[in-house]
Amino acid sequence: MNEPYLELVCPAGTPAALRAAVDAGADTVYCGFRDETNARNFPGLNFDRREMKEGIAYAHAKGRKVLIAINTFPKAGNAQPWHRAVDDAHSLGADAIILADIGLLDYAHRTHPGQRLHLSVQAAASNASAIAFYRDRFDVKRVVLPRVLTVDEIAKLTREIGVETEVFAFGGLCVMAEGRCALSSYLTGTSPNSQGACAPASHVRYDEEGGKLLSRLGGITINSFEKNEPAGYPTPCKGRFVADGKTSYLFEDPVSLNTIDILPQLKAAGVKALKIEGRQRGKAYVAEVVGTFRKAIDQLAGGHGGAVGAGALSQHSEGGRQTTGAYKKSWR
Amino acid sequence: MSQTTRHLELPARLAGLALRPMPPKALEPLLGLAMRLVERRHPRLIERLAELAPARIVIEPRDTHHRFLIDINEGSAPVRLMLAHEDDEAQATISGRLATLIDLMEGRIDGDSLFFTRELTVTGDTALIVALRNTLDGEEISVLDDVLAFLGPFATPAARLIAVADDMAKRLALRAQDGLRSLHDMAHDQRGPEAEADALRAEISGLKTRLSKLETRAAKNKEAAPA
Repeated sequence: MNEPYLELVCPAGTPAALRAAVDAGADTVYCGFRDETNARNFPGLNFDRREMKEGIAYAHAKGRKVLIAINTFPKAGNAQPWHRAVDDAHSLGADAIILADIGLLDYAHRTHPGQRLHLSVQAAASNASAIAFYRDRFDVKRVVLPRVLTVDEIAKLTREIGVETEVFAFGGLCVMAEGRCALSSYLTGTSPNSQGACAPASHVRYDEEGGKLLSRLGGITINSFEKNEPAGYPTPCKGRFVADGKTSYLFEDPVSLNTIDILPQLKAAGVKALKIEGRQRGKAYVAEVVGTFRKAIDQLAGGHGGAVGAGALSQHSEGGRQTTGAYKKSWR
Repeated sequence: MSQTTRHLELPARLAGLALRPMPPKALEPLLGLAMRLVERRHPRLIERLAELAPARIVIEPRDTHHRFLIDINEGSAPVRLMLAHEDDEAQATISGRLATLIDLMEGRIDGDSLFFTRELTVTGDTALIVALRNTLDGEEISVLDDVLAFLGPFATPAARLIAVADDMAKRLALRAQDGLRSLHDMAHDQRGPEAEADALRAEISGLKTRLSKLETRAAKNKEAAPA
């Protein structure tokens, strides 16, 4: 087949989720170690070294790939845990390591030449010059693009940079400043970028008050949901605040990205891989979302695109709503 | 995942009904038995839960009128039934329908999706609930398989019985769905029964005309056909 193949890259927060992703039809699974070296450092989640080894063996036995995300930024004077994570990911047989920090990319490239490296969305590289730097300096083979670009911009960029592009296809949306967002840190003192948890659960509280559900982060009320109103995560960027006497979502609504309806455009733009977000979600989410996208991609490859609609996944969407985000950006 | 794994909506509802009037003293031995079963079948789960120690989490199946306390200590995670007005002193509480909680435990439903749709309520230490959810989700649990394993030689006939009950429940559910649809159609039918009978008569008359024309055409064709 001469047509570009859309690789389905799926999340796994636990070994069970990894198996669920592989069984549901993922081409590739991405996951991380159980520490602050990856951007989903939540309690009870992620892989120890033995689990990672077993997970890679399971995926490889079925002809699938495993990518290890080491995509937080090492702390000043204590890069050792991040270096060890890179060394271990390499020796465990990761098909690629996903990195964001420029120093860590340098370490990985020098220490393990030949190890395939991907540039994490956390690096926030969204223009040809930035991506070319990572490509030329560290031999990065793929870039995960930030969710700020339109499909036309992705097509233009993909033609220019000469490395594979991976885009987010489904899941939570950030406020479009990956790797640079400090909103959560202001309320919790914990950084998503260096400690791996935006709105860490240890700082989250849900309270029922006056028939409403209040979500709080670091003691600050982020949102108030009416009875039976779909709820969202208490991330500060998706909070409802009062400004000029008006209550509204100032930055972003609780809503999930879903690209099922624009897969043909993404494929035509030359995108190599589609990333499903959600390493913090359960294996039921992984199985259903992966299965649905598998079907949609296969139908597209067979010339029958559009048979699977975006509505199929609305129950898994934050706030029960979905968007194509910046891909079909109508604002300036 | 095991072949015997199936949706437990009906059995869970029945269990919920059965649990409602049960006195705590009668439930305690059952709980103890269930815990020994979990410890035997999922030693790794207990190991992972112990990492959360010390922790006290209350589980509230809304449809049973009972509350359960998981008291996680190093090396153990006993579950105990709480008294009606007992002050729990728990760090966190999770509440939802029994069937939903079982589905969640078996990893059949995504906890976040349940939270978005408000089917699940979480109060107290969210980190503890997230850790418990992730720990359970990492384990391959099937309540049905666990119970069947406990039954030993009776597992096969029990599985057959459950399969029959499950099929019956599905058929009943389908029939109820059809009935509801008919009721809905009747309720929303603006024409009334007489108008509907007229419409049927007209349809039959039309069909008779078409049949008669077809018979005439067939007879003509037969006459015209060469011998």
